[in-house]
Amino acid sequence: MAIYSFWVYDRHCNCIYQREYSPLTASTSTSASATTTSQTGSTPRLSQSNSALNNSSVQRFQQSGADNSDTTISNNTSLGSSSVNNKIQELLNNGSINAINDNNVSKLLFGTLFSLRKISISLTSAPASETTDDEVFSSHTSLNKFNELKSFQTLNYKVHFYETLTGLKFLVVTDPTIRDLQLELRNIYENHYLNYVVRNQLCQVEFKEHEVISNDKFIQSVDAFWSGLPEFIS
Amino acid sequence: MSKQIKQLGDDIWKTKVEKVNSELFTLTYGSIVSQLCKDLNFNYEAVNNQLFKMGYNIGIRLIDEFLQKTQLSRCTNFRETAEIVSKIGFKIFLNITPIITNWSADSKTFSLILNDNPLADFVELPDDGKALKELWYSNILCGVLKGALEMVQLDCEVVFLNDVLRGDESTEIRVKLIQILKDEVPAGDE
Repeated sequence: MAIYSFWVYDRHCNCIYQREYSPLTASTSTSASATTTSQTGSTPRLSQSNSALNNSSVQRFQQSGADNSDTTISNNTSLGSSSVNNKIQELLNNGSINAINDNNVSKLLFGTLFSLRKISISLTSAPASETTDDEVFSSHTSLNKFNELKSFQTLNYKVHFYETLTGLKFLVVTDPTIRDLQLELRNIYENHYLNYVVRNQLCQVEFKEHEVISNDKFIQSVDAFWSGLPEFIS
Repeated sequence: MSKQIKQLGDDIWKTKVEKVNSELFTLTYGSIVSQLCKDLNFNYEAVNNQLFKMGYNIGIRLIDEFLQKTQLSRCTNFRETAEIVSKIGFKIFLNITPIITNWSADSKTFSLILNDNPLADFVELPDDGKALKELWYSNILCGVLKGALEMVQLDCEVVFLNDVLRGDESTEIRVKLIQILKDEVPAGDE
């Protein structure tokens, strides 16, 4: 399982959409890097909420791979396409939608990204002195243009990041082995978000605190998009 | 630079934009304004405000559409913003390119002169003694600009100065940059 969860934050720093596909379990390693330790505290909670799902996928693994000690990859190839579909369906059904928008995990995730973004900008910017508005205008921009945060990773996961000029932030948490998914995040903004949120006149685009995207079409199309990627199950 | 922007606007207009019949558009807008006038008892001040609000709500959505179609990154100064508003923004949504003029000395205020205003085709303001002085018929445009610019962190004041419908020589919109909005910080994190 390679795509763990997907998050959207608006320009007021609120999480307006959260979708968990499968819990992030710390199976890969125990010796986590410095950045991980700050976050691993949150992983047990993530996995607890979905322990049922976790168990069922373990059982499935045991049934189909009874006679050998396959890696997950070869195990998957032995599954028929229908059972892959079943598995995708199961993950989609068991995952949570907008369940933990306001909890600490969500806030920490945002905070981490927010700080990293700040750091990456301040490292390249001219020393902060009294600047006129015009200078702010350009420093602001050259930075965003040339030095935007793309992703960060630890031993257990990788967080891909895309920010629009309108201040929306799209994040996806995946397995660390995954290629860069920034283009996919951009695709979600330009096709899915635009079509089902912006062009949907009855769906607001300025979210107040605790308001979330609960639009079925958006949820379905984003689910279909992520589960259609070869990386979704790997 | 200016040429490239113009070229980009033309290309997007030709290839990426779905068109509608301009009369349908003009008449739809006209019926909205006239209905607003009736609903608000010909209080044109209130009509202007209402049009501005409607425009604002359009603007905060339109900017996403704009970014998707143009794939532009952030402007480096306000003059570039003006060029892009005129040559790409107005071009792809209304197929007009207003003239940018009357820059203030500090480069924070400029005027857009609309030689051709598709919203106001066929229109003549009613001769009731007030409309000619009070109604900004195309005030929705100000709202759209305000909303769209605000979403990319440019807090602007956008107002009509002149309108040919009122008997002025040109149709002029004044755009003034008030401030560049800062990124918002998570609550309790100041």
